[in-house]
Amino acid sequence: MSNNSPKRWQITRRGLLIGLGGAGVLALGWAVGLPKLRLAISDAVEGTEKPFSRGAPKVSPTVWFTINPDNKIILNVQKIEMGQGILTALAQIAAEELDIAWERINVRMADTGSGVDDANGTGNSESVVSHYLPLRQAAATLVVMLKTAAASQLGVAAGSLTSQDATITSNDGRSLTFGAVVAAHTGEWVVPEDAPTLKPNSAFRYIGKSQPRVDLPGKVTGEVKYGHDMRLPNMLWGVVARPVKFGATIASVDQKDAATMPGVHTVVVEKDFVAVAAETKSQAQTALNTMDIVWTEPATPITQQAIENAVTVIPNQGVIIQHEGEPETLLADNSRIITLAYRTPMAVHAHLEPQAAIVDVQPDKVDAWVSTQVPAGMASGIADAIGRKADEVTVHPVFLGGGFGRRLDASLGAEAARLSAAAKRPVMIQWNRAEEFRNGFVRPPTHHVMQGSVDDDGHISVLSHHQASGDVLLTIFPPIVGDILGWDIGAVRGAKLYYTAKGGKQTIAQRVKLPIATSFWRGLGLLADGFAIEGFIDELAKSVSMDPLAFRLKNLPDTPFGNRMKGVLQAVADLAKWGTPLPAGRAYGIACSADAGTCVAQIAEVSVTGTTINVHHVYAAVDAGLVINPDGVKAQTEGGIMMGVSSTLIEEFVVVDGEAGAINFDKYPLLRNSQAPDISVVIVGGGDEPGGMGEPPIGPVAGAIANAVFALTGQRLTSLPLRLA
Amino acid sequence: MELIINQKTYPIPDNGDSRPLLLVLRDELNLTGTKIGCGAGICGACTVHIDGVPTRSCQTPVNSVLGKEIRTIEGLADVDGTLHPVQQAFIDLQVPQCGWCMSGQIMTAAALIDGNATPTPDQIITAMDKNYCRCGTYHRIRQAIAHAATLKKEATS
Ligand code: FES
Ligand code: FES
Repeated sequence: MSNNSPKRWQITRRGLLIGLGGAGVLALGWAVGLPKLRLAISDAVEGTEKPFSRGAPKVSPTVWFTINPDNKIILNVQKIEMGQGILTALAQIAAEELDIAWERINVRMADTGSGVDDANGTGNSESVVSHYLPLRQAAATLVVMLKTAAASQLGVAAGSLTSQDATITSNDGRSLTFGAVVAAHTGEWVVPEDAPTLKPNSAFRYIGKSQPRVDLPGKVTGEVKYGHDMRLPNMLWGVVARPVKFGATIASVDQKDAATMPGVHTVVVEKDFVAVAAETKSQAQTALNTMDIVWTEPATPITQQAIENAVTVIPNQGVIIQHEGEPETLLADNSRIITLAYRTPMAVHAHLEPQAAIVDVQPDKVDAWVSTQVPAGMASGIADAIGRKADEVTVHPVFLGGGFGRRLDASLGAEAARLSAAAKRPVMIQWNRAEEFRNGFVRPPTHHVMQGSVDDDGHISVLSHHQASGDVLLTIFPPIVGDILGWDIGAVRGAKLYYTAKGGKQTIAQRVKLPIATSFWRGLGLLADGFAIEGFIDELAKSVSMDPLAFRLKNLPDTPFGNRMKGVLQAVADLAKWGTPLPAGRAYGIACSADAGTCVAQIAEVSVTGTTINVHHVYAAVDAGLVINPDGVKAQTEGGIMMGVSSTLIEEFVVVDGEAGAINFDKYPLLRNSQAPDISVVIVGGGDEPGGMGEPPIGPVAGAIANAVFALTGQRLTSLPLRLA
Repeated sequence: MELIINQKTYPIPDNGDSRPLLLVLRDELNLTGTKIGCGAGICGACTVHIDGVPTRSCQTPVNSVLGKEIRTIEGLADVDGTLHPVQQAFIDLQVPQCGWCMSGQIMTAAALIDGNATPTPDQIITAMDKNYCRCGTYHRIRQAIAHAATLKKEATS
């Protein structure tokens, strides 16, 4: 509806609060700092049984949708396609309530400033959750508005009109397409006050059906453009000086003759930023290599050992984030207490497309194409970096070659903007793999002390999880937030205990500040926490010689949530035929977890060759509540499992001599096809609310595999990657 | 200097160097369908065909392929737009997630199918084992290649 000035309900701008339940949380009275308050906060921001949702932009349907004269309807969203199929899922939701043919809807990743700016970005497994009802309401409202306009154009009462496949028909047989109504409309669009009636679920024709992904045709022909593929006429290539050692800063720079080398256009030397822009990438790199840059290294050398020592659970340190009954009493005097300690390493995202940004700083505006999960945050980051107003900057979203939490910070676009501002030409900066390894951020290492005991009747009597972790979420806040809060809400994703413990249970989060950058990685703490909790539950089952499945079913609560967990466990057991003998040399392990309102259970089938663990098959049952696209749910389950298998068997990022121990995949390999299991997925559950899907399936993977290895070899492995003795 | 890419001739500057073919494709000719993942011959994202052989363009000096038939993802479908059976199979089985590895996966798989109409599961895994997919589409890739072999057989019979 570009020829009309849309009437907006209300556009709310929220801060970048990835992983928090809502902006209001931070306004609480922190000075009190009472344990009770912290527990309440922990409950308020948790997304285990319930999905996370910070809502969708509150804008008029005329902003969400563009209707072309040819009656094509475009859904404008600022959710970024990084492989999770979000564009397809959102198009399904909108097409459902518009009640139009599938071919008629297009979906577009909207530029910043176009009205649907979404400061929440894309992540947190919440895009479908946060958009499900708002998009349905917007679509249904749009139909009402179009009918109202059509009624006046046709001179009839709106109530007498029907709408079918984007055509409105009156009972005297005259009809107008949506496109025609919009073209003929004059004046402001008025958004009705009343919420429209939505379709009953029984009438769904797109929601719950596996629509083919809208982005795949262009992905098999090479047509789709990613950040790394963008080019502008007249653009320069930029390279930035980056430290090899963690924590190093620029001490001094001698430019030598960099500025006059072939192809070099601009050299920027500032206190914290040294960069070259040239006609080709290799010219820029050659010039940068010519310069003499001296780095100041951290006074205390950063070592792998120091990091592991720091990330170690210390009794009585940390914040209690879950507390029921009297776990401390039972832990103190019960001679049956079993204790196991778990450890997980740092890991990189290894998104296969290295990040890239092209920024064109012009006198009156700034255009940017950046690999980002958060275009709105990127626009402010760029504006801040070059002293412009955020609304002068337009970030044009691009497809991402994987995200996994890596593409949430604004520094990438800020660098290209600074260089473009100096060069007065568009500048492209592409990271290479070595920069990704050295100068990105990593999944924080964790350490977990699990304690518990079981009564003779097979009930857990006490359960305790004490987790130490590097930061995840606090890295995006001013340091004061972490100092007051005391624990990292992201690091503890999946840390709380979902089993019933008759005498009491507790979860303690011990925050560790590390000298290297740690932050978001698919599922945040979920993979590590699932490994520790589900491995330990297996050990408890063994302590009373119970079947691991039966033990879980017995100790999950009789609540709606507990029943969903039991449901996925039973479903995956049926799928894999748990309990029937396997061929010699094979074993099953089982695990479950809950995250973002989605329950997942998995069974891994493993064998061992020498000291190599082979994962042949992973079976999964998923209860994601209301499912928009079943095949999309399966694909996300498969993807999460594969990434989890890779972490479980292979991946480990280490610091060597104060620098990245690997700068490419030769020393940090990923899971290969021959190591990748077959996967079978069954979807169970249902209801009216969707759960998240981008991250939850990674929760049980490591536990299921480790438990299978235990069943096969008797070795209870408690560190990732799993290494057999 | 000239390159023959997808049956078209592209003049390129002779810089007297042996810059990688990948760089020429992406940065000089704007053929960005071929991707970069590692730049070190490990991930397979940059795979193209050189005289029908799947080859890592990041490890291929451009002056070693002068006069050879280079085929990239942009030239894999027929000129009339009919997709190669592997491309079609990857859509049918909804294989790609982010899609960044897919050009390399598809070029590798296409070379396999074009040379072996009925690959066994083991042959498929061996052929595909050096192409990373971080999104974890591996088992769909295996299924899709078997499906592509069937599509190809149907198309030629
Ligand atoms: S980019 Fe050539 S193999 Fe990775
Ligand atoms: S589809 Fe994303 S790397 Fe393969």
